[in-house]
Amino acid sequence: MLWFYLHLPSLLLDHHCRDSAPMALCTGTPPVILQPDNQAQKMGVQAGQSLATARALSPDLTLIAFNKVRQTELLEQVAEKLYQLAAPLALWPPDGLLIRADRLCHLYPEPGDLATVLMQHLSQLGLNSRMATGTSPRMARLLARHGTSVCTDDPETMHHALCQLPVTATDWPQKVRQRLTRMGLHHLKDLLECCPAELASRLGPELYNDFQRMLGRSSDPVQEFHPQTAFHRSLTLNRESQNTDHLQGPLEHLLESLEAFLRQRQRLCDRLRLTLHHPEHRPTTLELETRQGESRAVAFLELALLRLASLNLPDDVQALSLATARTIAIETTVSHDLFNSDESQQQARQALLHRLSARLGRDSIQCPGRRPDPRPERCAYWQPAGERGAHAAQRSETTRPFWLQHPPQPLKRAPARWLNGPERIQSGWWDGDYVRRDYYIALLDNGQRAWLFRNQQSQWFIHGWFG
Amino acid sequence: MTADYAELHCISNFSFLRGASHPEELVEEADRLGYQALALTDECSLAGVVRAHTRARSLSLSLLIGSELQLQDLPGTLVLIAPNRQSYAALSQLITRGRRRRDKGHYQLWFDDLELCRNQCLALWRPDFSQGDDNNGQRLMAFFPGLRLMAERPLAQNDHLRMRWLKQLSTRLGCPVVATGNVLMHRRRRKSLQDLVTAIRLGQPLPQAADHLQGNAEAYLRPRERLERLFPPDWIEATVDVARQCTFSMDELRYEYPGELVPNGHTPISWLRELVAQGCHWRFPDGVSEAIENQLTHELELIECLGYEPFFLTIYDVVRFARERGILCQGRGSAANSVVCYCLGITEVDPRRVNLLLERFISKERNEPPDIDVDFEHERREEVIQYLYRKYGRERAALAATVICYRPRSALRDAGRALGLDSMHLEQLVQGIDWRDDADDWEQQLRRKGLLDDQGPARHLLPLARELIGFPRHLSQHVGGFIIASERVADLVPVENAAMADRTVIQWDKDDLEALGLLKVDVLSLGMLTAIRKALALTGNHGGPSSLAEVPPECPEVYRMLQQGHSMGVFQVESRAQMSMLPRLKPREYYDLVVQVAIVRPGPIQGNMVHPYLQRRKAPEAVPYADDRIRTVLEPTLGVPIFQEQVIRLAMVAAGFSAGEADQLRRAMAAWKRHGDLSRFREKLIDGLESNGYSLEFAENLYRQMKGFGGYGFPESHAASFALLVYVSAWLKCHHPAAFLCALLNSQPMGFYSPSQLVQNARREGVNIRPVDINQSQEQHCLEDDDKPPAVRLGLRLIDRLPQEKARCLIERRPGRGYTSMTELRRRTGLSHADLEILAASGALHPLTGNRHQARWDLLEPDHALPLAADGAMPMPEPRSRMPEPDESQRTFEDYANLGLSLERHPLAQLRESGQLRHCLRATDLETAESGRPLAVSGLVTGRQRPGSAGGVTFVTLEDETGNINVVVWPDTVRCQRRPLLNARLLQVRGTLERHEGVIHVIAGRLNDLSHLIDRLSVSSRNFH
Repeated sequence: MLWFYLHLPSLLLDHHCRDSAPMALCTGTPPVILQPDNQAQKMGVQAGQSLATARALSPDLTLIAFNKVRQTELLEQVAEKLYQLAAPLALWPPDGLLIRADRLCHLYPEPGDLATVLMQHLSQLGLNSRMATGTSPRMARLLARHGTSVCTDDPETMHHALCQLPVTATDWPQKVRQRLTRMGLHHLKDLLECCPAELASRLGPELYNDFQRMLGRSSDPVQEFHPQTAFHRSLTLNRESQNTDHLQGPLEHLLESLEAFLRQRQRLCDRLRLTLHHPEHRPTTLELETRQGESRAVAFLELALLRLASLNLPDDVQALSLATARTIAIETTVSHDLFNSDESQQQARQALLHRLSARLGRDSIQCPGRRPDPRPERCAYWQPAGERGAHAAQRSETTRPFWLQHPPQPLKRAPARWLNGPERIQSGWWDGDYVRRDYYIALLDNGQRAWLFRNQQSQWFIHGWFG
Repeated sequence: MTADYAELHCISNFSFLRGASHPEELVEEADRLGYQALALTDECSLAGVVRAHTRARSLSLSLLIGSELQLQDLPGTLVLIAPNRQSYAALSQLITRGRRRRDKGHYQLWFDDLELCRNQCLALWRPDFSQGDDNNGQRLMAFFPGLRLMAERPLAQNDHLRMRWLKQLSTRLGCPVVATGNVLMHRRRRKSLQDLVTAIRLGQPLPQAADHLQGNAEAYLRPRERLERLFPPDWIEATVDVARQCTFSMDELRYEYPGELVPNGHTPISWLRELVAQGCHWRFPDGVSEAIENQLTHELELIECLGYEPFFLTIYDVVRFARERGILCQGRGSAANSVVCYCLGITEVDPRRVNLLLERFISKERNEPPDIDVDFEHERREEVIQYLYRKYGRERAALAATVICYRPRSALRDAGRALGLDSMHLEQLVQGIDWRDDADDWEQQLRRKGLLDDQGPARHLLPLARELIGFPRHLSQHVGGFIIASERVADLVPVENAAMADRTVIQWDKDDLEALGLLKVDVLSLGMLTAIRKALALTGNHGGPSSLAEVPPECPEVYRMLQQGHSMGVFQVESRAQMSMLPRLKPREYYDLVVQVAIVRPGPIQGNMVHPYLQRRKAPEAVPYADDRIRTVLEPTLGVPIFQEQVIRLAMVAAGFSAGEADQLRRAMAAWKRHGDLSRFREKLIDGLESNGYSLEFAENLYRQMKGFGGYGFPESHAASFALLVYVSAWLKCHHPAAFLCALLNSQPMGFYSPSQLVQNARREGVNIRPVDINQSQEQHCLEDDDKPPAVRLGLRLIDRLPQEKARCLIERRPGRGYTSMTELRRRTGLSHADLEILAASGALHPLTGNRHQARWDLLEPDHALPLAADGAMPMPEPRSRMPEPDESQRTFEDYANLGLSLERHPLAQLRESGQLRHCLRATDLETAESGRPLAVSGLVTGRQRPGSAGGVTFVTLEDETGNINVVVWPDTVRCQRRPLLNARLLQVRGTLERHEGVIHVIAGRLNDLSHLIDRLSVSSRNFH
């Protein structure tokens, strides 16, 4: 077997790369440099340095916080792009791709051909890379990561290259690598010279087995990568029609194939784009959304019909197309209890919200939230329904009006009776919206109970009404 | 006319991260507003009261002492105020009890604990405004019949409801209501800072913490007119009533010394006289000169008059204990001015050898307790501390606190976090500042770099951080200041737990104690004393001196050694600056050492006194003196004032200052950098000098010199004490280098140099050093006598990671012929695999396995449970695999990694041999190289320094196989070659040689980082200390 490994040493940095300034990834608390780019390296920035040292060396250094999730996403993106060139391939997070080269020999007779093609492609993407071949996945990986650019199908050459590698180049735990070098076993070839039984008994079977896999002497299964292609399908209608009822049948058909697609991939879709094509006019596009993702055709159909019902179509519809805007993996960890007691209520509420927002638009459904802010107008805010905001408890023992006047209205006539006050509110200096007001509760001459305040300029305002 | 008012509930920033004003600010503001009194009632703390008291002394405001308490089982807030001395003691006891129950920074009190203060303290209570109030009020009234209810007007919505509730409650309980402010800050404008510290305390950014912030800025000291509008008149009147009942003043606190140190039939003074008389015979066996006799009489009279006898007796007792245990100790600082201290054995400086100035130590005018600091061996200071605890008990002895305050760095961090700034950005801000740059203020640096937005929360960062600086953050323990009371310390000041287990600290720091005139005993530690004792123990066994007294005085060889700058390891004069001063100053006698110690200090350097002094040393007879009065003062230092005492004396003899005034002048100079007010003394000094017939020019010149001198000079007495240790350590180094090295290594960590540097230096000076060996080494480093002169055998303690008890066990169970095999070692000692690996790494297993690689391989051999042979020795089954031998560089690398030093050839020698350092001169080559000539050197970087007094110059110390090379890097060079300068572990420097009075420097031109040549060799460097 022949494997081809692609090492992408600076995936995140390449992604953020701007030519102008030196850049480095940093991580940890207190933060230290994780990986500097070439420019920064030239100025002496090294991994492990404190930010102070790095800044002393390179005053205009741009720092980027390391993000593991982002790195994995980027790796997947690269894999998707290369899939058409060199499948089957496998992801090797955080920064590598493994290609089964012997299956590609009909396309690329020499490993060098594959390398050239990949190299061109990657440099277009602006990614640094290193590649190597190996008779085992681990061999290819080690060689590529260590920068030994072996690109051959000759097993002898690859084996020889592997033997020359220092043990520090392996993935073995730091402790093991240290132990080996401390016994003077600096290269993999030194390990080959030891008696295998002694090696296994002294260093443990795991290490020994790993070494065997590295040499290609025992099997090393690899999980293939399948690109996550988006669903996109169109359907031409037999009969052009403006009547939405006529659209139901073809729509059902499309949605069923979407359901099959999603089930196969163990995924849900939470954003779906339905496009209605007209003969004369620009197509009409509907965005269908579900909160937690959905795969059932029935559910999508209901949403779609609701939206269609409220729509005035400019023209006949001649074709439909359906595309997923976003899919998400099914959470397998969520377990349901036998009766789904709370769950079902929750689901019903969720479903209602979906239906309402499908009907009225996403931003039309909002729910109130409360911030712990002493300034009344900042206390409450609206947030999209279903999002969890901070639900802070009310400040103790304070009476607040039900209706808040926004903006506060000037007080025209002196109130009939003062009921409470003053309550001084003085806060918010930190966000530039400083207030200092004395609040009173008072009975106005028309019998209304009002919440009044006097500002620093001694002007009076009505800020709210009590019920 | 506005009514009189006393604020009874007020919190300072000593209720950490609650109060937003310093105690002094509160006192000043209350006085300005015409309050009758102010009660400082920090939460379960009296930490701020001394500061408030000191400030209030000169004001008409009377300060009440109290504390706010939140009890576990009583809702609401309780404030206790001490009306008299007894109740103050009770309150202090109560706080102590609450604090001692919990970890540092917390407290816990229950209702029943109030028994301690029952009927003593005045109690004020803010009820919970709930149904339980009646019941709780009655419970409180049972303890405090005079209970008062606290009314507050925070201008919240429920103010009126609460006032009504209080009125009703007061009728039901039959106790009066008093108006209070629940004050958290002295002025309204501190509100933002108060919000900020609250957010810091909660660990949340401000917007999230908003619920816990004060709704408005009313918790300040409000003008009386305003209070009149807010409270009914009788409630305001009631505050003054409370204040009137309080007669207690902090000035009543008197320190009562432990009485048990005086035997029956003696008074403290008669016993002190007796001890001094005994000491006199011991110190002056040939009789006492008249001058000394006079000073003794004078001192004893002063001591008696000021009542300090028990203090001297206490310190005498501690020193006596240390002597009995063979713990070396020696007084430092101004105490060496006292012949009494010399006779009691507290200090060691012979009054016949230096000029003593008693006023520096103790003076009637100052009426401040004398400061006696005693150094003990650093490894055995704990014995002395435990003795104090044992003798006086934990009730009576406690450590003084050190108040840890916000400094710019921490203030920026905490304030930034509370303002919700991005932590990464904040870290960049803080780390981007060059804190060592005195000329460039950190605020200016921040502004100039444009790192702060003018928009958003960031624009509050600087003003708030600036205010936060100096705010107390927590109480830590003082390095060694003990307070010992005759009865209970907690009657005087609350005691709380320190972070360290079994340590308690009082709530006051040394300045507080000084302000109240309380005495503390300073038990300090000094590494060199440990090293000297250990060295004397070794020399004693090898026919040399076994005690300090046996060290021959004024040995010319010792001074010859020092004149050449060979002082590594010698006390005080081993730093790079001192080392390069030695060949210039060329000390010839003890007094030169006193000067040497004092002259390499920021004061003399910045006062430009070094150069004139060195010049005059070349021709001492040509030194001009204005007149004889000046001559008597300045003659010992050739007309250049170097010591603090000389400044005092000059002011006395030439400007007519009294002794006390002159000392005040010294203090003002010390504080000048901070407060900048010397003008009062300037006039007096210059007038005095002129009226005594000195020219204005001379007077101005003298004043300038004194000012430059600032607070950074040593007192002569202190330098004289230290110079004794300089001489002894130099004598040991000169005559018994092996023993001295051994002692230094056994006393680590201490001193300026790493063991590696000490060992290399000693080897260059001809000391034979032998490696760590499983069969030869002891736990400590020791001398091996089979050779003449003796060799140093490195001990197992050098293996940093090997626990001490494992090393002991290894030595205890070692058979007479030594261990013969790995199996035997393992079986006999039962050491774990990890420990054996550590031993293998150190190279100590060499006699068993030949080399480290093989030792490790053999160690991994699974241990088959073979029957133990009769003598415990087992023949090893021959392993089949042989590991490759480590080469020299690998051995060196492992030595450095595991022992911190290597006895192999120096890495530089190895590199030089392999031709990688072509054209580089060695340290020894520099001695004969031509000055001003371009050259190249290279070496391991062992130090980088940028002293404040050197104007941005960075000093780098390089080490090669022949010694150290001093490199000077000018600021411009630093700027262009920052990278190699900061990063390199192995540095090549091209530059020019500069030689001046025997001191050799390389002025750096081009720096070249050669670290790749030494790969991962771990070399430690002291950077920017």
